[in-house]
Amino acid sequence: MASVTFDEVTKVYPNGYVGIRDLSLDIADGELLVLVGPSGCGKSTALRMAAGLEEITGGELRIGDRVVNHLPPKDRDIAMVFQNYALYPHMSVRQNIGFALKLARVPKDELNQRVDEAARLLQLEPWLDSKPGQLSGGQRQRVAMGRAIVRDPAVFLMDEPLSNLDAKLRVQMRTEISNLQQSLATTTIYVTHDQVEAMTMGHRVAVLKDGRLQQVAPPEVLYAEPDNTFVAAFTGSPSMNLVEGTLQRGPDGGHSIELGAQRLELPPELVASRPGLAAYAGKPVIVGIRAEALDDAGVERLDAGPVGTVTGIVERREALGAEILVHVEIEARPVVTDDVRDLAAKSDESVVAKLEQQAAVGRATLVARFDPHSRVRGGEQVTLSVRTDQLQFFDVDSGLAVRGSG
Amino acid sequence: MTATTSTTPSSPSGNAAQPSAPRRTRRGLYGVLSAVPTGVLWFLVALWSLPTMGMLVSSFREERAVKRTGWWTVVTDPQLTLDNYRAVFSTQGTDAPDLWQHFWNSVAITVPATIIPIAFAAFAAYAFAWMEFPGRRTLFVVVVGLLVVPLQLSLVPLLQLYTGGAHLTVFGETLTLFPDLDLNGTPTAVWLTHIAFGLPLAIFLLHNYFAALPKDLIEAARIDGADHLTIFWRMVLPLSVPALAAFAIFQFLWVWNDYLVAVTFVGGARDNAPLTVRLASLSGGRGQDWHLLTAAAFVSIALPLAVFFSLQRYFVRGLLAGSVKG
Ligand SMILES: Nc1ncnc2c1ncn2[C@@H]1O[C@H](COP(=O)(O)OP(=O)(O)OP(=O)(O)O)[C@@H](O)[C@H]1O
Ligand SMILES: [Mg+2]
Repeated sequence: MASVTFDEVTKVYPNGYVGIRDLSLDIADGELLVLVGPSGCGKSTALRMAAGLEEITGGELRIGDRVVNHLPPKDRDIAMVFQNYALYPHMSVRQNIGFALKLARVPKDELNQRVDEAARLLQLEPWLDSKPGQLSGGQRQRVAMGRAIVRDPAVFLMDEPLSNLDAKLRVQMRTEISNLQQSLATTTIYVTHDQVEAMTMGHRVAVLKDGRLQQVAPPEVLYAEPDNTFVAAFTGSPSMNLVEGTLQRGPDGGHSIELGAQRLELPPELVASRPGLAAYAGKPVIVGIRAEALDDAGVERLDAGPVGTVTGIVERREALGAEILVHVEIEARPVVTDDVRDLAAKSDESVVAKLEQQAAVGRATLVARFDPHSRVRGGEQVTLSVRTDQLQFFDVDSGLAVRGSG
Repeated sequence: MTATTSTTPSSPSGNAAQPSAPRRTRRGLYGVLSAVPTGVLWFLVALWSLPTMGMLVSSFREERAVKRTGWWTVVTDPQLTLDNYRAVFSTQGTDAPDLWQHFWNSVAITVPATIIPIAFAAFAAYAFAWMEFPGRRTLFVVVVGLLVVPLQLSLVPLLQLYTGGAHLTVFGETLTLFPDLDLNGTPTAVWLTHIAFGLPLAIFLLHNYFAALPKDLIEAARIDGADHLTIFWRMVLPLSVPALAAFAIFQFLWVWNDYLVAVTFVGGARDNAPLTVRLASLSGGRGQDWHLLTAAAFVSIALPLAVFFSLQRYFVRGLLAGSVKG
C-alpha cells in the first residue's frame, strides 16, 4: 500500500516530442484514480513512466515516500495490466499468474496457494491448466488481472484494460475491477479514453489533453463544474452544450444572458456565487448548459428551481426509452474552439463542418434530455425550459471557467 | 445408401449460420494457385521426384543390371540387392570407399557448425532486438553487412590463417593476432569457417523474428521481475522455436552439402574428408561404377532427410495465440 505522487513530471521523447508536461498529481493510498483523455494525449506515457518502462525526463515520481525515477520496474512494487493482455502464450494460466512469484523465489506451497486464491477471486479455477489461446477475451483479461493481484503490489497500473472487450463484457468487467479494487484497497491508476468508464469507476478523475493535466476531481465535480471548456465538452454523454451569449446587467442590478434575441434571467444567487462573472457585464461569455438542465416547457418539470425559457426548432429526436434526447436549434453562436473541434473531429468530421456552418449564421444546436412524455417532433418549434441555476460560464478566449473574482 | 440420405439436416439455430457465412474471396496469385487441381500437383511432385526415385532404385540393383537396362525394368524384373551398400561401406582394399568414416567426418563438421552459430546468434540477436546500448544500430548494420563478404574471396586468406596464424609486425615487434594452430586439414578448420559465415545470416534472421515478438510481452515480463537473461530463456527462446528450427535446418543442409570449404581445408587429408569430398573423388575415380555412386549418394542424403523430418514438427504456427490482442 502506498500513495503515488507525480511532482512536475515531464516526458520529452528522444525525438523532441513532449508527451507529458509538468504533471503534478497526488494519488492517495487506496485510491482509484482514472486518467482520461482523447487518444494521443499522453495517458499511456504517464502510466508507463510510473511503471518504469519509460524514462522520466523531468520532475520527480514518488511511490510511498521513495523517489522511483531511476528504479527498474521490478523494484517499484507495482503491477501492470496491459491493454492487449500480454499473456505469456506458452504458459498455462497457472504459470502465467505465478510467474512473478516464481521469479521472486516464493516457496512452492505459498506460490500455489496465492495463485489459487487469485484464481478463486477471479473465477478462473476451471481454466488454471489451459493456455491463453484457449480462453475467451474476458477470461484472458481476468488472467491479466490475476497476474497483477497475485503479487499484492503497492500500486496497480492499468492501461485501457477493457478496451478489447465487447460492450456488454466491458460493463461487467468494469464492475468487477471496481469491486476488486475496493476489496483489495490497492492504490490504482487506471487509464482509459472512455469517459463513461472514467466517470463510473474513478474515485477521482484526471483529464489530460496534449500532455497537460486539465482538471482532477471526483466525477460529480468534474461533471457539474468543469474547469474549462475542454473538460466540459469531454465529460458526460451527451457532453455539455456550449454556446456564446452576452452577459447583461439590468438597471435593477440583476443579470441576464442574451442568446441572440432571447434572454435568460440569472438567479441572483448564481451570480453571487461567481464573483468573477460581474466583470463580464456587456461582454460575450460562453454559457455551458447540461442536457438535463433543459426540458420541454410544455411538460411539467419534476425538479424545482429557477427556470427561464428559450425557443428553437427541433432538429431530431432520439428516443432512448426512459428519456428522449432532443436536438434543438436555437439562435445563438455555437462555440467552436480548438478543443471542441478536436473532440468533434474524433467522432465525425461532418460534425465539425456543420458546427462551422452554424457558427457562420449564428445558430447553435442544443442537446436536451426531455421527459419521455414530451411529444415534440422534428421540424416543430419548441420552447425549452432552462434551469438557470445550473448554468456554467467560461471565458471566451481562455476557455477557463468563470468562478472567483477575476 | 443413396446420395440424398447423406445430407444432414442443419439445425435451425446455431448451425445454419456457419455454412451461409460469406467466404473471404481469394484473390491474386494465391487464388490462381489454389485453383490448380490436386491431381496436377501430384503429377508435378511425381515428375520432380522421378530422378531421385531412379537413383534410389538403381542403388539396389546389381552392377550388371544397372549397366544394361534402365531402372524402370525393376517393375517387371524385381531383382534387388544390398551388395552396392556393402561395397560403399567396405574398408577392404587400397582405395576402398569406406563411407562410414566419411559419414562421421561429415557429422563431426556439421554438428558444431550448426549448433554453435545458433547459440551465439540467439544471444546476439536478443541483444540487438531488446537491449538498449550505444551503437546498437550501427553494430547491427555492420554485422548484417558481413553477409555480402564473398566466401570464395576469403578462402585463401583463411587457409593462410589456419596454417600460419596472423602476425603483425610494427616497429620490429611482432604481434600475434591469431596463433598458428595448424588447423589445416582438420575438421575444425571447416566448421570454424562455416560458423563464421553462418553467423551474420543467423543473427539477421533471428533478430528479425525476436524483434517481431510483441513488445508488451517483454515489458510484462520485466514488470513481473524478469531480467534480460530470464526473458531470453523463458520468453524469447520458447516463442522462437520455429525460427530456430528453420535456421538449424538451413545451416545443417548448407554445411552437410558444402563441398568448396571442405575441399579447400581438408581436401588434401583424405582421412578427414566429409562425404561430399569423398563422393566427388569417387565419381572421378570410379565414374563407371554407377551402382556404387547411387548407393553412396543415398548414404549422404539419409541424414539430412532424417534431420528435416525430425525438426519439421517445430514449424508450428500460432505460438503467440492468446498472448496479445489488437
Ligand atoms: N517513443 C515515442 N517517441 C515519440 N513520440 C511518442 C513515443 N511514444 C509515444 N509518443 C507520442 O506521445 C503521445 C502520447 O502517446 P500515448 O501513447 O501516451 O497516448 P495515449 O494517451 O495513451 O493514447 P491512446 O489512447 O491512443 O493509447 C502521442 O502523440 C505519441 O505519438
Ligand atoms: Mg495508450
